[in-house]
Amino acid sequence: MTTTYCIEVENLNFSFDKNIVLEDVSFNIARGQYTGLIGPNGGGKTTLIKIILGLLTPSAGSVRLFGEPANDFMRRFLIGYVPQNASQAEFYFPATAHEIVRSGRTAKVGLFRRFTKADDEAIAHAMETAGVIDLKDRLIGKLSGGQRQRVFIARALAGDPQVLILDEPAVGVDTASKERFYEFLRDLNKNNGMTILFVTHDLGVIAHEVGTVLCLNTTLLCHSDPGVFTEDRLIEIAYGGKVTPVIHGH
Amino acid sequence: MPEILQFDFMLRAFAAGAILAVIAPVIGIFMVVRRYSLMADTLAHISLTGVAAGMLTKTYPLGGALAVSVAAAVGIEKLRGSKAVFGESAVALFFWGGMAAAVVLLSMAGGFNTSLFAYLFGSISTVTARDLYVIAALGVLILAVVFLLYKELFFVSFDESLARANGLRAEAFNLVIIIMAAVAIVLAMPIVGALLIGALMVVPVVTAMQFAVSFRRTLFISIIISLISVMSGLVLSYYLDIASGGTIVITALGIFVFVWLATAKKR
Repeated sequence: MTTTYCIEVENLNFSFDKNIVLEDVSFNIARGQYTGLIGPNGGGKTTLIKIILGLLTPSAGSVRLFGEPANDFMRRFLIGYVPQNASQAEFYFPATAHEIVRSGRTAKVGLFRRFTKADDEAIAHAMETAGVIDLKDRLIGKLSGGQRQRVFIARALAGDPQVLILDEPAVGVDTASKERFYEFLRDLNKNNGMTILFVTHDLGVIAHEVGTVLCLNTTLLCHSDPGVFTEDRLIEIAYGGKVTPVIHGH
Repeated sequence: MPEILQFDFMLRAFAAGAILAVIAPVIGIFMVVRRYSLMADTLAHISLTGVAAGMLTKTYPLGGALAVSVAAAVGIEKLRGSKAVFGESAVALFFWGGMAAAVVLLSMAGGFNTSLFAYLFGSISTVTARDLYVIAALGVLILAVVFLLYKELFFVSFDESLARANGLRAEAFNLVIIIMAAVAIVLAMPIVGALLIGALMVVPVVTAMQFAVSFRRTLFISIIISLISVMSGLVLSYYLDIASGGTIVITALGIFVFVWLATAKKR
């Protein structure tokens, strides 16, 4: 059965100890959709992403990926993930940008199989798309924050994903690179039909770049196209003030 | 033929040493990048329990060491995974438990003799023919596993959560790394000794990392450094009549200091 949705989240609940992190969250993301996810810190954005990625198990509710229950979904590499840039853990790791990008294709290649010529070409293509082919022999720890971020995007693309999930990818990146980065995502969405789910604090991006916005603060406060809101209204929804849930049919 | 090659025990030591010199950094590199450096020492101390049990029951000491070391490796991963204690504390509990059990068993076995000394600090004359066969067979097995799982081990080591998000069973690969480490440690015990095995797994890798090259090259360079350390350590040990384990590790550390100074400009 084919479905038009890449990600279907239904009545999702997640509690940690006795704290409710997510309550009754439901939404769908269609193929080719460009979605921005906003909300205050501690509002459950990263938890939601981790559940979609299978890194956390929800307390209740379900996630379906490409029409299949997430638990049984075997082709998880179809979802590319770019984690937050904050981690410095990789600073001393002895690996080149090329080795890091190549690791993004590990699951697609499969256990006990070696990288073929076609894999090498796909990896080179991902590096070209993300603009990091010139950095391929540089050590990951010697790159700037912006360069490292693009390497991680190339790594996500190396597995030929159909969905790209990015968790605050532009944090710590200078304004000029940020502009280029948003342009790059827009292009990926428009020309390659990539489905994008994008966690951000940058409300300007929400207003100008994405096609759909999800506001999350434990519950889903809104699910709509961003044109409905002024920036002020978005700030109010996401970061405080009296909130009336606005749910549009999607 | 030089005198050193006329003795069977020396030939066995060189053969076993060459195999160990290759497998120690091959496992060691994954331990170092995962911040598991001291895990090797913990497993080595725990495996002394197996040696002691072997001495007590008059069975093959390395067999006991292998069983205890692998069981402890699995236990540490389980305790760490249960999140009941800090990862570091999990390692420490096993470390003390292993040492305590070893000391108790040794005192029951009639104590602290020369044979124990060899297991603690390594000795070129202790590698038996049986040791050599075991080292060769398990050494080849370890190399085969790393060769087959290289891309997965690399991915899980660099970014475990992304590897899991991509559907890899990260816990299984972690377990593979730590079990291979447990095996390698026991194999290295006759030559390097339980107290210094960790150094053979870690020092060549840390030295190779000073060159700031790719993961693959770091691995090759660390194998070369390890081979030089083990071979020259064995030769020095023979001619100067000093403990092989200490000689090997001092050689490896000497290379580290040299490389560290030589690459200082690059940093």
